[in-house]
Amino acid sequence: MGTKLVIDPVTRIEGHLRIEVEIENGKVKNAWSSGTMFRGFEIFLKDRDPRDAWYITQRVCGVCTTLHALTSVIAVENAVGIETPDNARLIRNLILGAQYLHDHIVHFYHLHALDWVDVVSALRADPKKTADLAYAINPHAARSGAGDFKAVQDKVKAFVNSGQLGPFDNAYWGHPAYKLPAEVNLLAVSHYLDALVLQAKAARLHAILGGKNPHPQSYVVGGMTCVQDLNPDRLAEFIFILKDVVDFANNVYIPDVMAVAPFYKEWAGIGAGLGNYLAYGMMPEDTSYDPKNLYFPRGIVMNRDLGKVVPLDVAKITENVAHSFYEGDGSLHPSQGETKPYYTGIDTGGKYSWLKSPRYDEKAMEVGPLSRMLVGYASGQKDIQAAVNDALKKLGLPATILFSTLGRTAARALETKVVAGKMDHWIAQLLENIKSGNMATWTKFTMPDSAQGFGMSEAPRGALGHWVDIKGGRIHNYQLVVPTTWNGSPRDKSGQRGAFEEALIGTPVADPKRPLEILRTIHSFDPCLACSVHVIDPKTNEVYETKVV
Amino acid sequence: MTILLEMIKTKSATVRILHWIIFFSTVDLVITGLYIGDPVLMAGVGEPYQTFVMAKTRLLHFTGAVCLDVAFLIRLYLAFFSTFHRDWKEVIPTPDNVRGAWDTMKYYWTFKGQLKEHRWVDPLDGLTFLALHFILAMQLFTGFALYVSGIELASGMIGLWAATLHAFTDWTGWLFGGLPGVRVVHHLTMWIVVSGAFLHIYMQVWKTIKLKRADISAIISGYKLMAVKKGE
Amino acid sequence: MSSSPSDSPSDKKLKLLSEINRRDFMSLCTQVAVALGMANTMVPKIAEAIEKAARRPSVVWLHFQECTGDAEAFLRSTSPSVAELVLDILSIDYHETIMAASGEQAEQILQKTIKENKGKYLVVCEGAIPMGTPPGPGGKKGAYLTIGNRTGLELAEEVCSGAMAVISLGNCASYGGVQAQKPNPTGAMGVGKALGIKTVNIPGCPHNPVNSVATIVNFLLLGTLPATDRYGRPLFAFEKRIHDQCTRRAHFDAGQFVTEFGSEEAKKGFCLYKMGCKGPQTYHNCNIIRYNDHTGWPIGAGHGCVGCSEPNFWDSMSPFYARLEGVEVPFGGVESTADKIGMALTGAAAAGAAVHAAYTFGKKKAHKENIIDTESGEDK
Repeated sequence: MGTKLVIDPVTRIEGHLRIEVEIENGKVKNAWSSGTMFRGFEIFLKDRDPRDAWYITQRVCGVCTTLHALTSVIAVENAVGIETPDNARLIRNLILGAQYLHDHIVHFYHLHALDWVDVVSALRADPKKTADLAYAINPHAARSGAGDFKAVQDKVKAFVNSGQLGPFDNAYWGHPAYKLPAEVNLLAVSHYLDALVLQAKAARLHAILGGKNPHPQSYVVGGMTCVQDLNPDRLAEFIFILKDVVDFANNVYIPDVMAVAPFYKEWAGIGAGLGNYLAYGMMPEDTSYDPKNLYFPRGIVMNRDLGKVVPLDVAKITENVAHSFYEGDGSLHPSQGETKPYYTGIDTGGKYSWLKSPRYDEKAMEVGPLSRMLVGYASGQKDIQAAVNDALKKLGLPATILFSTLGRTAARALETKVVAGKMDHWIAQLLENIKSGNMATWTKFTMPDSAQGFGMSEAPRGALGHWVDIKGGRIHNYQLVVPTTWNGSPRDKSGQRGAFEEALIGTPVADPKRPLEILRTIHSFDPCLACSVHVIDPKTNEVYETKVV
Repeated sequence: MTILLEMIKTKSATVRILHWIIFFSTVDLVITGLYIGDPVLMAGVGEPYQTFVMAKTRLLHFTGAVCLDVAFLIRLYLAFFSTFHRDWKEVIPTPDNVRGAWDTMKYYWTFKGQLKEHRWVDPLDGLTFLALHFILAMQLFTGFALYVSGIELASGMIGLWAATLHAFTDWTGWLFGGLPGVRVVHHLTMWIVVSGAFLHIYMQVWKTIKLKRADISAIISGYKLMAVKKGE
Repeated sequence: MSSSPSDSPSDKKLKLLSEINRRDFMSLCTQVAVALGMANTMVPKIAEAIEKAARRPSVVWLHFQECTGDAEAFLRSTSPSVAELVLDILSIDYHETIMAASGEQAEQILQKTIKENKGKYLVVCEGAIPMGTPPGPGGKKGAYLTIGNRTGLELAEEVCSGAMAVISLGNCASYGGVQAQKPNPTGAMGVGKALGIKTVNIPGCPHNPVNSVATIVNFLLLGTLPATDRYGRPLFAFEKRIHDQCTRRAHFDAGQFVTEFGSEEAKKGFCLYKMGCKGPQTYHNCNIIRYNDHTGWPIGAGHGCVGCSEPNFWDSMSPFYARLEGVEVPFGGVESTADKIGMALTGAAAAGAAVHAAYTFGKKKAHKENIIDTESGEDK
């Protein structure tokens, strides 16, 4: 029996997460991941107007803010049988793309970077050397003169001297697992502050086409409402803000990841996890939303076999509650899942999470940027292959390094590059439509009395699916199977660990009192707990009922 | 015994005028209110001043509301202080009035027993009158709660007016769950007024035809027929 | 920064704000003055007051049942930027989304902050507090949310009891928000109601960072929280109705309405009243300050207001795409719209009258003989 360690709350994530690990000989031997909040979305979605569902489900998460809205309108449109106009698809892709650019940058700098970057060490850096380093990494980055770094260093010094360390207090500074030279640390701290300013600007992309961010408000079942914004001044604003954001991604964010990675090469062998990667795919290239025409492909990579993509069969998704705070312990299909909360308190031998355990064909899956990149790579998606091959060549590492904590973080950066490269294409298509007089953004429809539908997309954190069952023109049953439920799930009945838990196994922990290494791996998944906790109504969902059992 | 019918004055001119003000305001309020609730007629393209459909409809609605409310308050005053006839005792649910209303109702459906003749008001009509005015009072409060939501608490007369209205109507928001609830109640109550008015008109026409006492005449001329016992 | 906070010179006073770019700083002061309805001449005074505050006020930011949308919204603040808020204006000592420390270290900071600054720290709450008791052997009040092995309620009680002031950001912390809508499975409620304390509520879904920053600065400047309405909302932001300052108001008065999204009327920016816009029932300043550095707002994006700054808007303002004609009212177990109920009522009255008329006029008997005189003569 090793040392037990509990991290609660895990910070720099969305939501409320508790991690418990057992450490033996300086390595994690066993791990338990618990979601500690329950809200009951499926319960209050019942009997609501299906047209309102997107607005309600959007409040599942304010970080991946636009994804639930998008997935919900796709699900209801699928149920009603509407094909939305091309402009609606393009606006949705642009909003989604903007979300990726924003979210990945914020995740890397503000949620993840402090796991790798020692802020205190930055105080010892030489600003001139830092400027030289910045130039060597990427000569195109702005605000990278010696004076700029000196100003940042002075500012941080003044902050430290004030004695009020605010959010940087009592952290893991000086921890032996920090490996970066002082100059790289200063570079990263400087970019941490730049990214804080940049992300507010990036969010304006949503405000142009969606009125606001977080929680843009231009979605409707049938299309988008922002027809007035399809005019030159708004689109010009969009294009030029986007240009700045893409500049930052290409000239600051991605080079930073590439600069930091070589110092942490051992993390290419840590945190591998399950090895099964699931992606629903996203960003449709035509209005049919056909899975074959998604820019990011749909599919599964099993057992790290990049030679083969297993096609996704929706019916094989099941959810288990053996270790979740719900009644029962059976390996039930979502359609028959238990509804009733049954709280036991956290008991790692028994029930220990509000999350359920989704499984695909009885197997635990990892979702997220790494899954999308791997499925895209294995599917032969040209842009993804080019980005991955290019990065691996630069680092001089084999593709197998992707199956790791570092791989997850790198995949996120590469994905940002791929999305950034595609935005212009959609803007051009949108302009082409406007030029030809096609301004349609909405399709008229009548809400059927009874219908079933589902929508699938990808949150920055991974595969997201919504299922809706409409009866009497109202929501009869609504289900969400969301990314962090896959990644952060507790064990299932067979004892199979979830992705977080599996990835933690073997992680070295130098100082159990300051478990920095554990946070690295957990943060590499970009957990989003608010999304993940939900229950399924026992009234069977017919979508499933016909296919499974 | 012979029964002689005589024209007797039962309604003062003021009461009659007030009645018709309330009638026409209600018609105005129902029509304009339905439009405000669901504006079916729409203006085409053009500058707002060229149509102002909604603004004018709302003006008519507020004007009607003020007429109704003022008439309502004067009528309330007259119930207690009229120099012609103070009728407050006839419209409150005293045991006698309730029994009388019940008898009348029974008679209307069975025609058994005898219908008592009243110079002023039949207890059933009296209680209905009271109920209708409670409903109108509800419209007054909910209507002003909606109306004042657009008036800021500025200084001067407008501020005083807004403060007064807030003081008298804010409880509706609390009771009905905010302005959306107040709006639904305001709308539902309108339908109660409409169906109540319908029944009222029907009963007056029915009485005029069946009882031959010229009941409707009273609200126009002030006089109706009444039995006078003579020559016993 | 050292791993042990005690060896930092905590009493050292620094004029931190000189670090901020002067122009940005004056822009902040101007924006604050505008938001608080102060005259331009106040701007230098505001600047002076902020600069005087050498020690940044300690802020404890608590997350309950939420989506982190309000923390994200706060990050979108542009004047001042969140970098300035974090480094120069506030001392955000506990904030789960941005703080470097986790687990036990985070818990230590929280304890240190509330003990060392007792009665002097600000609490900013995000998310509702579940008051329900989940079924099961471990069930206790509030166990739908646990942080550091304590319920959200216990944490809130401990932290808020020593606070100088509690500010609730967003509709969840203010009034319970999304999870409190019918049937409210977790018994969620706003922080003020859950703890029985007075909070300043800055609702919205999420709230607008201009309003939260203005409230905090108001507090730093004047030492008091801004005047609020009966729902605890600062008057400077929530005194006016969206409808009355709406950019589309002229179209409402003209009777020019959008009836279909994406239509010609929508392109012309007509009024969204018929699309279910709840602007006439909603008090908020988003039409004036807009979101994300004045870039947009929902009605500007062609979508009706849903009333996200109003208590319980999830139930009272829904369905979001209908106004009265689509609002269902509970009526004797059957849900129906006000118009359907009203028409049924009028129909019933008409049917009753018709039956009665048929019955009585079908009878030959004259009724006047049945009338007895009970009141005659003059009025007393």
